[in-house]
Amino acid sequence: MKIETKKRVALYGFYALFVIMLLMGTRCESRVHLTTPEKDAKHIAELAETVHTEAELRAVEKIASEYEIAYRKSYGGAKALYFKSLYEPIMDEAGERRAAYRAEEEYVASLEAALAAHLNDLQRAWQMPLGDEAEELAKLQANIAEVARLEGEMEVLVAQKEQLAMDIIEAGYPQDMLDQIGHVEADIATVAAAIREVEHTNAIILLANRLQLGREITIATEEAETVEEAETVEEAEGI
Amino acid sequence: MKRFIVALAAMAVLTACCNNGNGGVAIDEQNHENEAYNLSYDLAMKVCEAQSLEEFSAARAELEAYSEAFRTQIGGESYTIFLKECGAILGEI
Repeated sequence: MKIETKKRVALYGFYALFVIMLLMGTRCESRVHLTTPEKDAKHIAELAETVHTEAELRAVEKIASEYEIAYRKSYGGAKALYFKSLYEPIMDEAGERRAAYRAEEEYVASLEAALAAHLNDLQRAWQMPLGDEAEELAKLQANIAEVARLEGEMEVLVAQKEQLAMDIIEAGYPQDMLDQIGHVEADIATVAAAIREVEHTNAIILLANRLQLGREITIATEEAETVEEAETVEEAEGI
Repeated sequence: MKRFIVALAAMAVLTACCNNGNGGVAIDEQNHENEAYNLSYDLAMKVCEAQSLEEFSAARAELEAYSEAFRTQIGGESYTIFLKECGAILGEI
């Protein structure tokens, strides 16, 4: 009998402890201890002033939202709305500050990328195996021919896009035609990227020749020849 | 006891090495803006004036070490100046 009583007491004790822990758990879960809307909004403002990263902004927003929910649960909607009206401008300011930081971060990232690209170009130029001048010139001219071919391809695609744009207006913007123009625009972007890549390769070849051998290679392009011819004609005619 | 002291000394050496992880590069914190202008010019010119791949690689490594030092030790405007000036000089080549 005595043992039975002891067991029962222990069981009740265990249940009581469990209930207490459960209650404490729910209390611990809520990090929010309400004072007055003004004081709590001031606390949020203090936290918001330290916001620098996206994660910090989200964390402060979460805390503000927890306060708002706590106000709603404890005092009803009116006080929660009043609290919201106090903290919302603070969060807007923090958001603007974060946006400014983001712009700055993006600017720094673009500078870092540009510096890395310059250094990589130089590295590529220093490591590029070079042949004699005729070979280098042939490489450059082959690339120029490739650019001319790609530019031709580009012209066709641009004309196709313009035609499609007119057809789309006439047909009343059907989805299949809009998809088609999307594909053409993607092709144009691909060709443009290919042109930039080949032109960049040529720039690296010229740089490699200059850095490694101090050799300046002049490419006689059709345009340069045309200009030279025009100048010769002008001189001959005494213009 | 002896082993403990040896282990402690090894840890101290290791910590010192880790703290000096920027290859011994230190920026003058009182004068960092001028340092950003002067160092960016010197280091970028060293990269431009390299006469061989080895010289270029050494100059690049030095520039990158200083860039990292500016980023971690100073940051802000001076780091931006350093990046911008280096980029402008190297872009001229």
